[in-house]
Amino acid sequence: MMTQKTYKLMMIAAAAILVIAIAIGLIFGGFSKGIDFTGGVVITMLQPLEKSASSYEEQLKAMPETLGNLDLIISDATNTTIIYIAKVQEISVDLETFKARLEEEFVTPVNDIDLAVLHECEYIGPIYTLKDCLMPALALFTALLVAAIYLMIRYGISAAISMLTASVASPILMLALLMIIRIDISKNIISACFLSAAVAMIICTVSAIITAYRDRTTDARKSTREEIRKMAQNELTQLLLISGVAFVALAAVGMVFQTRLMRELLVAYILGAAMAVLSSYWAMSGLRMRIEKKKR
Amino acid sequence: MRVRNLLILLLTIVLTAGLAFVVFVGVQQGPYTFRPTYGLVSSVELNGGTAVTLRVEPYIEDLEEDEEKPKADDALVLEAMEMFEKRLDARGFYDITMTREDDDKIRIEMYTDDYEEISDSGDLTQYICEKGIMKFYDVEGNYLIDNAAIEPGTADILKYDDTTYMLYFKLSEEGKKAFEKLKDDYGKEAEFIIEYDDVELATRQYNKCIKDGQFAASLGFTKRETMNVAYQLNTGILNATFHVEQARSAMPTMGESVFIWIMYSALAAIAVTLVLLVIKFKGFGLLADLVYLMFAICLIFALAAVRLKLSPSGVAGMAVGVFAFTAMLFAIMNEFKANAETMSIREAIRAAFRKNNTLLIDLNAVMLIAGVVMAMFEKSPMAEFSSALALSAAVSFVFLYGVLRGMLIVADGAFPKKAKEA
Repeated sequence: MMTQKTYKLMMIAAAAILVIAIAIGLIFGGFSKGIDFTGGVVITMLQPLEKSASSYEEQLKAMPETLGNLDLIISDATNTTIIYIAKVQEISVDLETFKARLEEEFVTPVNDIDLAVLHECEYIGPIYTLKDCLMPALALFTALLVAAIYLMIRYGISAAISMLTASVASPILMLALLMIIRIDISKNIISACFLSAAVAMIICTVSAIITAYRDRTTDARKSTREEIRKMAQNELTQLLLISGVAFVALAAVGMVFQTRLMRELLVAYILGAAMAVLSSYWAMSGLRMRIEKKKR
Repeated sequence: MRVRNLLILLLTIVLTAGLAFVVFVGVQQGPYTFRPTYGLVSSVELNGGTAVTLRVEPYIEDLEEDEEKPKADDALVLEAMEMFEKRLDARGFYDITMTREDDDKIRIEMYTDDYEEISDSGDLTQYICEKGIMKFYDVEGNYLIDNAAIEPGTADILKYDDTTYMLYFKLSEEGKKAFEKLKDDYGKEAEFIIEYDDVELATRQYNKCIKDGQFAASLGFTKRETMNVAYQLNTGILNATFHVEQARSAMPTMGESVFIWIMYSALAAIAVTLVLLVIKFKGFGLLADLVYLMFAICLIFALAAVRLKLSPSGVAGMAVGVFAFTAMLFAIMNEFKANAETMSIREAIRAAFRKNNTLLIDLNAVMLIAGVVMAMFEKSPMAEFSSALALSAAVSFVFLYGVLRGMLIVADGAFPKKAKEA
């Protein structure tokens, strides 16, 4: 049975994990900004025959001009291979010299018939700044707040606060983990933050509904409040496991993407969903109990 | 009774297959093509588009060539960005990313396809960068009036014949007075000169262009050019000049192969869910599969109807919506299965929906609220997420409350013995 001391420890532990995750992330150098935020050099190769994008990646990394540790995003579109280099300063020579080297390295006749063409090699400016992320963050927070008010009216303040806490904590946790594993922050990662917050919101809402139903229908003389919570949590877990399998299947198939861009996006989605589940369970069991105990 | 229910089931399966065909393949009738998913995949991430970087400078009339041009301030750049957005919105162009670079540059990226009237960066800059200042002079070169002559929002295009298009607008009170004075001074056949963005376009006669407070005249433009002028007049004046710093095709960052992999992933996820439903709920699991597929197809149709883009944020919104639908579907089917062991099928259906009433209403309400509130921040680049979330909530409510319930009742009528065995 949960005691007041246990709730307190759970909350302290959860807060500590959040702070430690962010601290470690910052120690590792903070966010790694992707091309959306830094701008970079875009190289476009046109080729009549399909060539594996990863072969370009290996060749480019091997070129001394690219300093060997280039951050690449490569995608294929019909007969075009587009290669973005995220960080401009990771090219050791000026653009014209680099262009000449690319021509030398990649533009070669294939079977003396078809020729790969260097379509373009130029700088592109950043699309977003961190300031541009403030509007989506504000939109998300406002939406969560309004949803929390709805939950408060329907299921009480504890449900609202735990939903709000979990929904805010899960994207933060996700971003902290991404900082540690050095995945570039891009527009795609921001969409994963939205996914994470929305999944947490859904889990907490379902939990509130199931718990309220159990409270209403279970005889309080036969089961304690904690036992009712446990029953509701078991029901929620079963539901999440089943509906989560499809999500995992989607992510698993998507992980075979050839492009690094999509693999990173899916890692962010999986992390986002995982953090949403963890923070929701923490909020529902620890935080909610604490608020209800204080109320009583 | 049983035959009727079987026919309803069969008809539902056929309709679902038909809808899937229409949604994913599309239909063509004469010159008209209906391809809902075309809109989903028409995004810069998948197809590329056009990208242009413009440097903003304040418009100063009669600036000498050797005079130093002043730099644009914050207010002018923001005003220009707002005007670009208005002009592009007026023409229904979407999937536009507009960002500020340095202090005085604006970068615009937008999806373009062969059927729209902006197909490259040249078209784009021509349309959005015009100042939109129209001036009228009498034949002696005396200034009559400018955009103040035009009733706001009334500019339009009229077809005169196959090759001639006329600019039309309603005259404001000021405009009426100015042209009345022209008529009084020079007679009904008084001529006046039309100038647009410092370029003299045409000389026209009063009695051939103005009647009952309305103006209509050909400017010697093509249909597209005349339409551009009309939209520019309606959206207001842009007191700045623009220099194209960079113009290029924006290449797709996702590409067709990635789109194909997204479809494979989605199909795999749906397949896993369908199998789980059958394993857990046996015969009624097949029915739940049918409802699940119908939901997925209708959701894609609804998203395509609102021109949602298959960007990562759109995919995230769809994933969340489908996740919530799956959870609610399993909750209802779980309860139904448990009750069907001790009650009749009809009673089990009623009990399952009674227990999950609040789940259906409140979960969909929370998602709808969150989606609608986020969508109100219309400048947010996460607009696709909010639209997908809100639409998923609406469609899932209809499907769970209406379609699933109906299908369970029909199945009970079609397979009464099997229902009791389940």
